[in-house]
Amino acid sequence: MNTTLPVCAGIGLRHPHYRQVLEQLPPLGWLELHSENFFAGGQPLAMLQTLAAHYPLSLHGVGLGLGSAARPDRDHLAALRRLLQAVPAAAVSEHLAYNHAAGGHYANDLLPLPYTRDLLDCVAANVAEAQDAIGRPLLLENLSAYLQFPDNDMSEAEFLAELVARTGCGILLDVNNLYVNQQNLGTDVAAYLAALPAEAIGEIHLAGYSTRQFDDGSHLLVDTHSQPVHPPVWTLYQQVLARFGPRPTLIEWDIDLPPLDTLQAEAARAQRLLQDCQP
Amino acid sequence: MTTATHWQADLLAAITDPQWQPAPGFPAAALAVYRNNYRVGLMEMLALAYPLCRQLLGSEFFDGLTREYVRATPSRSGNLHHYGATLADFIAGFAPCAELPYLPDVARLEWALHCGYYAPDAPRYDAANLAAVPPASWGQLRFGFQPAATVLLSRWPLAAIHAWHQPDGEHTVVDMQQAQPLLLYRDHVGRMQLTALDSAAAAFCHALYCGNTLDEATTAALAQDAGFDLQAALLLLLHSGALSTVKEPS
Repeated sequence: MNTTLPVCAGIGLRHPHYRQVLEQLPPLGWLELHSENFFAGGQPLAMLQTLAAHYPLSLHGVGLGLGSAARPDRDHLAALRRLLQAVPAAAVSEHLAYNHAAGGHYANDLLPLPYTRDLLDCVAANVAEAQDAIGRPLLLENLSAYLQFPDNDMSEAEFLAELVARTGCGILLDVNNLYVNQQNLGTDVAAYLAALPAEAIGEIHLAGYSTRQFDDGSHLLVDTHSQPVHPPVWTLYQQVLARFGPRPTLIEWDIDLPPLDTLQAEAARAQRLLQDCQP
Repeated sequence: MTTATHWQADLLAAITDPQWQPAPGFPAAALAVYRNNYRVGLMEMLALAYPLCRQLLGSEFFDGLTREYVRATPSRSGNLHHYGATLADFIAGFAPCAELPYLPDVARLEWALHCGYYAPDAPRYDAANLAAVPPASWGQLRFGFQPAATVLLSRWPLAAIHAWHQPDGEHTVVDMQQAQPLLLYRDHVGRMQLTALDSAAAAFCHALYCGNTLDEATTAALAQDAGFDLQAALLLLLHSGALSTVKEPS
């Protein structure tokens, strides 16, 4: 299996809640934190080691850009390897995203990539290189996107399935991202779910999007992680659970953070749906 | 390059360069979202790394400064914590900041604090080990500093400016004529600390930081002030934990 996370709901832990969680150690199924915030030593690493003594941890990277044609940054991989040697992690994940061009110019965002056969060769090599560097499989997360390459050979789901087959990686299925892409890009959700290999799904993300209106009257759903999970995303989550069975599920909230108990209430809702679908 | 890699390169250029005219196939609304994410993400990172500059300039002016900086300065790392290393130099050449000549050094201080906080751990040099070194060889010793430690030379009262703007800092009168070079280090619980140095101690610490021997550093300090207190300066370095390793003469 590509993770040892418990099959229950967890939350993304962000800076404003560090102190409260460390002091009160509230009941939380598991925690996910961004790997890059702990690449150094000192206070951040010491805190992560304390958390690891109390909760299963998932370390979620945002900076490798494995969906780039260019190779991943060797220093970044070395820092991730050191982190995983210092902290026991139940899961390690990254995004199937583009973020840098050859020559080392970065966007520091999760950008879409062409789902073409030739890029698949590059990306599979990138994923293999990253997994070799850290000595364990990665979960790769599907993207939210606002535009797409016009001449794709396959869907994102088919691309992910190919990466699973070629590299042994797992999949982190972000249900909010899938919904956002359905609304923004017309992604066929049923075909998408059918194309994913069920046994590779190691984790699920839930989050809230925002709606951005433009002067020409059009709008886009933007994956802001700044809201409660929206009703259609809960509905899609149930569809996902029915297809794949229960999976470790994360409530992800990154900006305009509410009190911790709001995150716990969202996690409790996911937990009820997980229990309802136990076989 | 294949069509796919061309498309990736074009997308990155379109997002990071606001002057770039989007090619057909990059819808304007989607590009606007990505351009906004890029600009705001880097500007927020700078606001986190440079809180003192932001206080000194006011948030509106600071946002104007960092918007210009982001436009001129591509990101070179997938790790956002690496972005903003050159803001001090940018401020030094940014005409609207000319009235605050100490601002570039305040930015250098903040970048050193930021890098120190995110630096790797390393063992502290134990002063007791010095006892094992024959006193005749002390002059030839060279020290390695903690990755988190640095020596910052400045003609401005950086320690006083820093203290003035801390929530619980000391609000003494800041004498703008007083130079305050600094020793920066991370204490045993991981907080960054700064200690103001006089000119001789600064020359001493800086020489050691640059890899010179204890003798050479002492000579540099005495050139600044014949009354240089070697023992006090060495104890400061040892007790602060700024030193990590020692290299004995071979």
